[in-house]
Amino acid sequence: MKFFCISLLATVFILVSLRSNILPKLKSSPPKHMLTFNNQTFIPISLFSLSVDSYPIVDIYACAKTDRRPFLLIARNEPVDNELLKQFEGEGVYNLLVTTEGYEHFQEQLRSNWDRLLEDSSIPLKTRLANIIEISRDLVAKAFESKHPETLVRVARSVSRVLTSLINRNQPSLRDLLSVLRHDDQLPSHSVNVACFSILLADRLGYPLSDICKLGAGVLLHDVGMMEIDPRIRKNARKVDEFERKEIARHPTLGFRLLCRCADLSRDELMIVYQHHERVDGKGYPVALLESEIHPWARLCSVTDVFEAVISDRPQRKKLSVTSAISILRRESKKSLDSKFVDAWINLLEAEGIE
Amino acid sequence: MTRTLYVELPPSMANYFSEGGFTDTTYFETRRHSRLRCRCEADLCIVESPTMLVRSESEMRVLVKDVSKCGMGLLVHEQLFPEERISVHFMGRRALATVVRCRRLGKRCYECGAKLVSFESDE
Repeated sequence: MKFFCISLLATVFILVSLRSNILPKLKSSPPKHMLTFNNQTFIPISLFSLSVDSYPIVDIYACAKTDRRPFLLIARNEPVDNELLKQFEGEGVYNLLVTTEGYEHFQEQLRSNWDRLLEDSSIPLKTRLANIIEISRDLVAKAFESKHPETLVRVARSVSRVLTSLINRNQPSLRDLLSVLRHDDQLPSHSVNVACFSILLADRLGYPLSDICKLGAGVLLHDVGMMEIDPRIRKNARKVDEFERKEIARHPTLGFRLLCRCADLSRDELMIVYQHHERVDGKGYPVALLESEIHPWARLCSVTDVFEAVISDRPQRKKLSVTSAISILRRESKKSLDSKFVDAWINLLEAEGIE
Repeated sequence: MTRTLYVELPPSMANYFSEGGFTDTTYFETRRHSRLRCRCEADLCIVESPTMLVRSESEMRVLVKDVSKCGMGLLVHEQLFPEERISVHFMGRRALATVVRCRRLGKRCYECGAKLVSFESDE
């Protein structure tokens, strides 16, 4: 009898536990990195990229909050439930998952909508931004993998042209932009995010369109030298030692060396790659230049680069809030960053009440 | 024609011309060969630059800092960029080298490291 009671209590306990495990499945958490589960690797995609095509051609997964186990959310060729997407958005879940095998097909489907995304104002701006940023990130990732200078410049130019056109014509809010960008520790995500921020800032500062386009291309390439750094150092989760710090500090020079033979690239674009870690107090690298010796586009890029780095996950630390990023920028504007660009960027954030 | 030397040595290099011998190295340096201090003036000519880097002058008077089996250190009054091909004429020898790094030490003083391509005597 005693044994029966204990068994009954244990069964009830297991059932309650199971239920509590199932229920939070609906409240998915946003996956930030590639995720491997049961020998299957999943890649995050933006929630908003589903809104253009009502019938995704690949299976779409979401990630359970409790054990981060992916579960099938929308089967391929099944209609997308817009109410469900709104529910996810309301809960602050901006990323879903596709398998690595499905990712290429998913990208093809997105690319087929490229022109429509640029022109069709009936599609919500956030959806268009999310789709274009998703495609851009993939194109940039592939170009980075190629390490081929001409390919890198060509892709950076075309992606920058599209991002510039979209931002200039539609004037998205910074809040919209922040909600569709993926803040993980991946190099292509970082490059696209910094490029979007820089294009937006240059646009609000009244730069000519042709300059914004070039600036965007340079910013997309700013960290290309990182591809030459040993991934064990780049993705190191512990505090970097002196040797590793020196290795990482080589990336602007490595990027410069990779791209300087490219006839298509302008001096302005190349200087973003070479000087984005220079600081106005002369404590930057690789040259330790002072204020006006640093190209203005590199000074602008260093502000958005620092901001993006602070609000994104890094192997060594978790991301910080926008409020923390603002206070870091304020502190650095008195020392190492160009105060003109810092003030302009903070004004943009504060005007929209972003914290 | 002897060019004017525009390099301004920072105060930390007050004893620049009196120093000699091999330079110290640190644990984290990855140099393969020891560097010998060689303090003299030299004529530098920029032989080749990436196309987008337009230069106001391609010939200048510089200071040689040190030399090793594979490279040399120079002090130049303006910034040189990686991958620029330079020819340095000093002490009756002509070195052809490629710039690999450049660091600002002070006003009109940039320390450049260059990798030797060839090293020939004038005769």
